[in-house]
Amino acid sequence: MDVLLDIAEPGESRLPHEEQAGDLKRVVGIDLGTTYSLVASVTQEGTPLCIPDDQGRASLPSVVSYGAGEEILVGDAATERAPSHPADTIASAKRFMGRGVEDMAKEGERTAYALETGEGGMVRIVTGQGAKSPVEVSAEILKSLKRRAEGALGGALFGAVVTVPAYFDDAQRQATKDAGRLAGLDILRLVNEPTAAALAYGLEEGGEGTVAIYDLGGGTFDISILKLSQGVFQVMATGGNSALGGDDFDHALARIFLDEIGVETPSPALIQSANRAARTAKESLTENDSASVEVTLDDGSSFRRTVTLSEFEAAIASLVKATGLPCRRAMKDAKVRPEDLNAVVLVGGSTRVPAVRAFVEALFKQKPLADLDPDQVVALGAAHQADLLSGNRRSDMLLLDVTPLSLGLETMGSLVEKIVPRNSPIPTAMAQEFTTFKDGQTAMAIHVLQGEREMVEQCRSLARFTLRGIPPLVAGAARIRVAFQVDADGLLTVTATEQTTGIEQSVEVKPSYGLSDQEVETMLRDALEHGEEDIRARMLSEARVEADRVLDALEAALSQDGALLDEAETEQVRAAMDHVRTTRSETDPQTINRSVEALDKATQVFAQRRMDAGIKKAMAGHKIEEFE
Amino acid sequence: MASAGTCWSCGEKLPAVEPFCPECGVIQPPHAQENPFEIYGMEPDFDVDLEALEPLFREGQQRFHPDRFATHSATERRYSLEHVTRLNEAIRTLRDPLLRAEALLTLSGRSVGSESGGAAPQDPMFLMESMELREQLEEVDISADDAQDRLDHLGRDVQQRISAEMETISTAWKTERESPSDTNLESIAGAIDRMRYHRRFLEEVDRMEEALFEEMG
Repeated sequence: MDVLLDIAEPGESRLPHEEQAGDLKRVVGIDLGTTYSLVASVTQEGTPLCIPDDQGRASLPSVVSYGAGEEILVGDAATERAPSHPADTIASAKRFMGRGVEDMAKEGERTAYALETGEGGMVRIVTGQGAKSPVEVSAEILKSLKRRAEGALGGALFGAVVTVPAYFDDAQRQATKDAGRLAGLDILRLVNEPTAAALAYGLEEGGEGTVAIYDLGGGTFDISILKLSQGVFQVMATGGNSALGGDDFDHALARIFLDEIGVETPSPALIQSANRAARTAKESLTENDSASVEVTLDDGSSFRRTVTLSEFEAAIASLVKATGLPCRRAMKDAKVRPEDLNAVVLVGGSTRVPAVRAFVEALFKQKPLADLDPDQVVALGAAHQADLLSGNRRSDMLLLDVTPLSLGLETMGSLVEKIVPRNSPIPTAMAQEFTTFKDGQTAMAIHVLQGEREMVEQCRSLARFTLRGIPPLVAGAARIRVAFQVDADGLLTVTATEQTTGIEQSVEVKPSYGLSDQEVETMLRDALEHGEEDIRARMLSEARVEADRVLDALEAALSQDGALLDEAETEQVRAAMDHVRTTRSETDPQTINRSVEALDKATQVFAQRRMDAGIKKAMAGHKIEEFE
Repeated sequence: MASAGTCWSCGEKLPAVEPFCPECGVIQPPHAQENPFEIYGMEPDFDVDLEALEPLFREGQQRFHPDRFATHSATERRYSLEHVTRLNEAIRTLRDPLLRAEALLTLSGRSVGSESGGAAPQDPMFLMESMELREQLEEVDISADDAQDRLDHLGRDVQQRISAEMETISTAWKTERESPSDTNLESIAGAIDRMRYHRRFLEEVDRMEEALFEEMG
């Protein structure tokens, strides 16, 4: 990256050590990976470093073992138990995040697990300790990293930045946020993995210019093209495949072994053994021309074989080639050609495979860079972003990201009308107006989708809701505005407003797959044995979140319907709100909860009046699938 | 919400357009009535220097991005979100000639019926040319070696037609500023219609190119 210039900022002046130490918030960056996860933090000197476990290992295998009647094991300990507990030991849970059983089938997932459909439609994995959602599994990994970080940093964490593949859709992002909530982590921001990697690179090398980040991890592939200018890391375009990674290389090779072994329906233990052997071979083949493998069969005997580099490359050729389409699409969206790129950076363990490097070099017409450890660079970038967000340091560094997939609505004929095109800078808000299709139509079904294809069934369904009480008018007379708001985490809120009557009525939808609130509550209660301090921290964080939510909702309600209150009443509500704002910074969750309850009491009259006024209002819509 | 002209946080009186309270430094809600041009401090015009816009975009993000307010109160975070959402919406309009032209029409405050009422343009000459282009596009065989070249050629052809329409809009807006008349606005509306039509054609080209990429794997 020698084309890049130094971007040390004059405003970045630091306080002396001792002075600063007391004020620094304990924040970390977490790379929640498909095969490995890492946690990193920024030292007082401003260098991001991965935090190792007590045995000096930075990478935690993303594996959780739920043996019947045994304690939950995470990481290497879980990996060790995999051979004896194949069905209870869950690896690569990230591939299941925000997914249903039919998604897994659609994506040709071959797993050793017994799957079932849980509440909310998300897939569950049946273990010796009951059915576990991928969110719970991920939460165990996050908890383990949280404990590690708190041990190393000497106290409770203020918050964390957790990375997600850039190509994760809304369901997968929401599931990741839920995992954080379940682990008692205050997630400051979800950051896209390639963007985090770019930040780490930019800091290391300093820079201006256009770079492509090619990120091939264990289970996901991302391509991002960024423009670096004066400390601003602006994502121009992103693309990828959230079900393509090094795991698939293993599976492709393992399938050859299993075919040769010739067992009709292989047991979970055999599948896992074949996958492990394939992975060992893959790793060995990054440096050698051939590797010998051994798969343990169910009867205890062994299947032995030698795999040559060319055999392996033939097995993965179509997978490697499949990364080309998103790259070409991203270059087109960013309006750059390969020769416009100042650098191409390799991220993710799977970019160690020589065939991948050769493919990238041919595609982008230049030698890719792998100066920073491709396994650690995402966590390091995330740590930096956490440090920036916490305000620990003054810096002009700023990440500007985009939506990876287009967002839209179902219209007549099962077609998708795009509202927010892919690669729109976030946060963003876009709206479109619709009208009624039939005379006297009083309700409208709204179906929110994400994806690039034109047909509804080819896109991911995010949420469905119905706008009721539309005043009966002639077809085409009602005006309904559907607004999409995507926040800085890339999460979506949809609002539909009927505007004909002049009085606005809104329905808000936060797509939430995965876990119902009740499920989260149950899980939190189940987790009560996990220590007093944990619970207190979680309650505090939840109390604050609730306080913010109530204040936000109330501000919005006041700005909309403030006229329903007279001056004295308004003042009372304002005073109660100020009280919540003051107590929010207290460390006792009870104090915060009490002030929120008091606020709730103080606003009952207001709520009643809004409800009375609201009952008289209405809704309608054309183009959008009609609702009877 | 603070009454107009005072800081919502400390109550200090605010100058007309001030995103931060000069007294307590706290972020204020954005002014809803500003148009995309005003948001970036420019006169409404069709000709926009996109290069010069980029530093303004970055500067705006530096000041208002939610990352700068991550540890602030919920209200401040919401205002920051509103500011940046607005900056992003505005730059989308400014960067896109079609949205920009539509914004100018809206700003003119006068409603002009587009010649076709939003349907395909009526000019027979235009329709003939368009049909020819469509035929050429349909003839492209994406499995043929020259598919990319032919798509590129068609794309460039239509891009040139869009440039010509932009020229028309630019001239009409200049005339409009010197001597306002409905003729100018109608000429802009007509160009917008034709540009929309060309856009749809380019989307077709895109779809074929996607299919081509899929072929390539």
